[in-house]
Amino acid sequence: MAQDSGSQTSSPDRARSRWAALRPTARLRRQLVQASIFALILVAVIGGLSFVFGIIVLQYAMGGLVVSSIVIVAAIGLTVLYGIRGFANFAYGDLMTLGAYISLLLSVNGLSLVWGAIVSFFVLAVVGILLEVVIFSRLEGRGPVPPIVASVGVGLIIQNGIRSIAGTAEWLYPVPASQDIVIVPGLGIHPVRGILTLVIGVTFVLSAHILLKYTNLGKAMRATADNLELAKATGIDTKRVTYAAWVVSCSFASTAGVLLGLGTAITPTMGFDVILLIFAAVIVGGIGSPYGAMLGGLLVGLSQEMSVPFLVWLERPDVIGLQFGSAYKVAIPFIILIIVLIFRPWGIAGRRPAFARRSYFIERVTRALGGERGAIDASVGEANGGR
Amino acid sequence: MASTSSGGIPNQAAGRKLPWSEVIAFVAIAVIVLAGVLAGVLAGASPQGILTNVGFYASIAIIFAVLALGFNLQWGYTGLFNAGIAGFYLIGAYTMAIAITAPSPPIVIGGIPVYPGHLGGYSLPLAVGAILAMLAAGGAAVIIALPALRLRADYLAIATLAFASILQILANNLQSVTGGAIGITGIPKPITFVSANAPFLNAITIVGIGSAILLLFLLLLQFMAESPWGRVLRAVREDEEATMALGKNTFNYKLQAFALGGALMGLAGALFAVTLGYVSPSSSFAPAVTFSVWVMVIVGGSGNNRGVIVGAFLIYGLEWLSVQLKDYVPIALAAGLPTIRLLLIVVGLIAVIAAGVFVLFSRYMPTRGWGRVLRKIQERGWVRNGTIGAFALYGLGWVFVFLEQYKPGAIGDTIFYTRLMFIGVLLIILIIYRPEGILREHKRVLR
Amino acid sequence: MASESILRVNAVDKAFGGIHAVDRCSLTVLPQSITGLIGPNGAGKSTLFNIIAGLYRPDGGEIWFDGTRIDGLPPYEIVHLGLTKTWQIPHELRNLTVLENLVLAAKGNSGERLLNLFFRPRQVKRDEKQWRARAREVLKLTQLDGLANEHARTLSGGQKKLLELSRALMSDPALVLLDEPVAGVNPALTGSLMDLIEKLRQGGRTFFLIEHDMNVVMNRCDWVIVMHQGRRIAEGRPEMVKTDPVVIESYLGG
Ligand SMILES: Nc1ncnc2c1ncn2[C@@H]1O[C@H](COP(=O)(O)OP(=O)(O)OP(=O)(O)O)[C@@H](O)[C@H]1O
Ligand SMILES: [Mg+2]
Repeated sequence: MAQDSGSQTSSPDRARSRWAALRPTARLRRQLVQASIFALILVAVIGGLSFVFGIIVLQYAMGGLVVSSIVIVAAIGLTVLYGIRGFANFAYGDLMTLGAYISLLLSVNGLSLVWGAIVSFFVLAVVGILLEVVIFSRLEGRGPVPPIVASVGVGLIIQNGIRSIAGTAEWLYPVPASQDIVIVPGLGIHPVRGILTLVIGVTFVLSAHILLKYTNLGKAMRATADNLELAKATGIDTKRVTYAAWVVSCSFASTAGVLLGLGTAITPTMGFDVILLIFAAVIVGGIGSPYGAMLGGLLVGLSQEMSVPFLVWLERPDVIGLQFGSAYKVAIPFIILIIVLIFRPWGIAGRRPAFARRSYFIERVTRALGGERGAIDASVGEANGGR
Repeated sequence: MASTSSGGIPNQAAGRKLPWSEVIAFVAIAVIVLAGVLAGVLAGASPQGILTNVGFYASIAIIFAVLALGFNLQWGYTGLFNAGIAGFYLIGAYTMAIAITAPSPPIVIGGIPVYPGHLGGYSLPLAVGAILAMLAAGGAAVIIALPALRLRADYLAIATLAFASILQILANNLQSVTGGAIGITGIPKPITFVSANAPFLNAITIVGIGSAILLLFLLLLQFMAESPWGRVLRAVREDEEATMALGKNTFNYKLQAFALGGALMGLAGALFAVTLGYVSPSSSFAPAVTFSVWVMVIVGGSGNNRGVIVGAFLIYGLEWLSVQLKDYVPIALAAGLPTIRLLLIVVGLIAVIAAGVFVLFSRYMPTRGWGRVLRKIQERGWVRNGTIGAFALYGLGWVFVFLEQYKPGAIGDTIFYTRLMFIGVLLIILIIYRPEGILREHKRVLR
Repeated sequence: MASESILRVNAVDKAFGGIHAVDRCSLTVLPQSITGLIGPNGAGKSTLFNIIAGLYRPDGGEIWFDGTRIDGLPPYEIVHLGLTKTWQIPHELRNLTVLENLVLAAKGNSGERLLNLFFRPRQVKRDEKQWRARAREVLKLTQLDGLANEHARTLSGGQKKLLELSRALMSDPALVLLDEPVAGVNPALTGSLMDLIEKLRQGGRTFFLIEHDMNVVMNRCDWVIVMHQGRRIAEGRPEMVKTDPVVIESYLGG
């Protein structure tokens, strides 16, 4: 077998050199296999659920996918900055709001929403660079807390600036009203809120992938996120990478904000209300890893929306009679977040850092529970000799 | 120990020059209170009404001071950055409310449920309620700390923020326990007055009780934090790994500090419930509370218990003043609009000319006389910062003018948001230029 | 052998990503000795110390200290067993004073338990006084007494190394791991510090130290272990190691 493929690839020499770049490497093939297994499991779970509970589950899964695609766009933006600048940008939600309002401003004044979104994409990119220059570059090397505090300050300024200028009323984008497209009875999707959002989400994911994988800038960004010192040492212009990260982060925020505004209404707190969802996606996926953010966003968005039938079921008096069950759906991502923080703080897709801070408390618990090697079973270790 | 080490301060102070920052802070608080009083006088309020109002300021400021003390123990001493202060505060307030209120059954009018009722009706004494509130909030702190404390500061911040927002969701929706969006009303006062000036007497008792509690906890914290125990906390803040290598079980210390800080925040919540007489899942427990407390602690100087109390009085003072002025500013602005506009234009022109002159001058600056003064000013960075600040204020002035012109009366609402924006600006400026605060942490001279 | 050695490292392994920093390293340290650990930069010496002190978790192998297996124990428990280490890059507590840094290093200061503050104030006071006095003594030994009440962040690089050493001496350890204790310290003081270490050794303590200064290693150590690429490649008396061809090739010569 192996020899077969070997002789095949060696004979058309020129073709090979041309297509070599596209041939899947072993790693990519492995990842593809993993991804398809993941997708299969997902489809199986959703299919099983809808078989049991009816088609409504599919409807919620669809809603979950739409939410996920917004969350993923935002989470990629957040995680890129997090990885390169090393701080949690608490203003991210408010940057999304800002993006949504800028395109609202333009579309209210007669521009089409598409142009509004494009303009706000670039405006926010500039805002990002300004933020870095004016504020965050001064906080470099002072640990994680000062930038968090400053970003909260930025968030407060944006949020309340919007409030005092645009008021607290809800706004809606002027999109043509249309009915849901019915796929099968009981399962429909809105052309703008659903399909468009999904398409844009996928587009952004793909463009992020291309940016990170195939451009020099993207490679530099990944290297910097991986190891800042090493990147500096190998001659990467980290300053430029930092600006690029801000640009990507903030412009993604703007688009995520527009999508969010399309899905619901535009309010001054719309971004801040979802910031924890996005943080959950980022941490679940592993901080600094855009691919993790995609996975985390999918997990978080789907589980939030698909928990609704379950929560509604809990509302029945003969179960536990929970009031407003579906209001708790926003708590689901946090529960996932906490679980991940306990067991895999570096994220489900992230690599365990060599320097994961040791957690003696948890080590002790696991040792007590499972009898891992250590001081307690010292005598056994002696009997075995070295290992 | 604490007495010896803090006893060193007066000795040190004797040789020190006047502590300007403290003087400024106290003067600022006095100015705020005076301005509030003045606003009351202008509005024609009775002296008693004004005093009640000032009493309200003091009692809420005390609550914030307790919150700030709790956060200072967590962050200022131990370096644990808590972004969920509002959550612990909420737990304390609801625990207190549930513990001490009389039973309040659901209300249904004409088949429509108006009030869902809430858990409780135990009518416990106030002190018991406060202790329960501290225990509940402290317990919650332990639970959140177990997974999150071993992680980096930013994870802790995210986890606690998530925790606080879950609690707000719960308070809103878990009607049978919390009374839903209406909350819990009819929380008893410490002493029930039946005279006509009950509000005034209530304010006085609450300020009295509050300041006693604040003083007690200030002394207690000062004793604890300046002890060998507190020294370990500060060591953890500086370098946890090194502290571990010195033989300290840092996780235990972090847990203790976090739990005690959480308990203090619970106490603040309990005070809040009693002060207002009702709790509801409204803006009192919004993330903005957390951010305000950050500002208070940063302004006051993290690691300095007295400082953060001053910070609380100062920052809450601004908030209170903005509410006091809410009704007067729009009127005053509307009346003075033409003058103000003229003033802004003139100031703008002068600023532009001055900046231009300065830029030109600094190119060809003479090295003596005026030039030296100018250079000196420039070297200190005053010019840049001053210009930026002046332009910010200037822009704000124009925003106000336009708002008043096109949406008369809108400024009253805007002031509230402007205050939050101001807090944002303060956070950024302080964290960049003065992270150690106005009243900074003092050096512990051991003898 | 296990009975007479105070520290026994058995096939300890540690990799950082692709770098195999410590590669099945085994060694023993005899009680009341001054044992030197030398090797080229990046040989894994500091990593090994960190593993012994419990700061890194080894990927495999075992570590025995004084009859107790200590790998897997948290650092603070290891310190309480009587093993202290200093850092190659000083980890001073920046915003604490030098004296506070030292008092913190004391073991069993009763005031560091919260409840004792309230229930045993007398003992707390007594302990604290005693430890402060002790800290001042140690500061005299390391000639830092003039700086006792300065913030540790204001010290110079060499002074910070002295602070490291002083802190290690505070906890009264049976075994001290010193990671380049005299790098950056002026030569005159180096001599007196090594005299001090010698004196303490005679008082019953054991020292295990990393040092690049060959004078110190050859004149003061009574046993030298050489590491290279994460492994122990040689050990012996200083004069033997000095002439060992393997060592000369990997470290001394090149
Ligand atoms: N935190 C870390 N992350 C990744 N690799 C590390 C880390 N610490 C050490 N290493 C690697 O482990 C190897 C051993 O490092 P170590 O610090 O133990 O060397 P050393 O023998 O103390 O050197 P020196 O004499 O320069 O102090 C080095 O190759 C280093 O790059
Ligand atoms: Mg080293």
